[in-house]
Amino acid sequence: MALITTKAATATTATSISSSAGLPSGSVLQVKHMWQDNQFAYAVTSSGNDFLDTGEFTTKGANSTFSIVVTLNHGVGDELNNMDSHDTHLYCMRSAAGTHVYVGASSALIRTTGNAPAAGKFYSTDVPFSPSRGLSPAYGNNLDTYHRCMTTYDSPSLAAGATNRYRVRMFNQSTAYINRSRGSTQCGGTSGIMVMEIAT
Amino acid sequence: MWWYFWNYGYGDSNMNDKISKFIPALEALNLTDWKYQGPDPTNEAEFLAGFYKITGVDDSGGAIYTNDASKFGVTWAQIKAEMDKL
Repeated sequence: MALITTKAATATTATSISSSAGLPSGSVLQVKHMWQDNQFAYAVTSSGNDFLDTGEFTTKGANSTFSIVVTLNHGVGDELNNMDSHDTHLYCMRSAAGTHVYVGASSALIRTTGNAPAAGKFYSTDVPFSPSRGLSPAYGNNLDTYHRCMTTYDSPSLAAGATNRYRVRMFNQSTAYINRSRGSTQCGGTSGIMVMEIAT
Repeated sequence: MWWYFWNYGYGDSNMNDKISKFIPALEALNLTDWKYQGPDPTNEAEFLAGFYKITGVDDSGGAIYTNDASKFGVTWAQIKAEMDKL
């Protein structure tokens, strides 16, 4: 009987913790995660392409900070000696309270190739690195991939119970490859976005 | 070691056989505003399942895609013909 009483007490405590009220600053209120193993090839497009997305979720606390971690896998755009015209631009977008805002951005990244907006990028390249370019055969460009990473904090001053959402958006100047290499879908990786809501 | 490279080359000597011509064929046809999801197709059914074309833009500036083949602007026969040229 004592064992049953202990379990009941534990359950009560857990119920209490599920409410964000009264938790100290720094407490993790919830975690949203999307793991993406689908493979994509994107042509040049006039609009942004989203391939990582938490989906809409409801905030647990008022004025929370959101810790965002992104890792994404992509192929090399070509095997040319001059990889100009293969720019790629990456953004992380928050959609909440009827507005869309890029977060975690570097103000230095202002290129607009591939129809990219000038501001808001967390990654941008002109002439992407391409390890075996100019070689024949250029196996590395066709069959290997990279991972790009980003972490940031976002404090959008949302009320508890508000709808929030984060996604990763790409603009590309040439065909872009997510979770796969250019030459083969037998080579690639996986991507993910994790968002932690933290009490302030 | 010469016999190794003579027989095997660098890495996988059959690697060219693994490199798909599907994406290069799409590029050669100068198509834009599409995405392809999944392993590169080897037949029409796989192509129809994985190909998407942009039909609009949402209020955040994100692409809106359709998997409706009548909107693709290209057929598997055209892509296959281009692949056979490469």
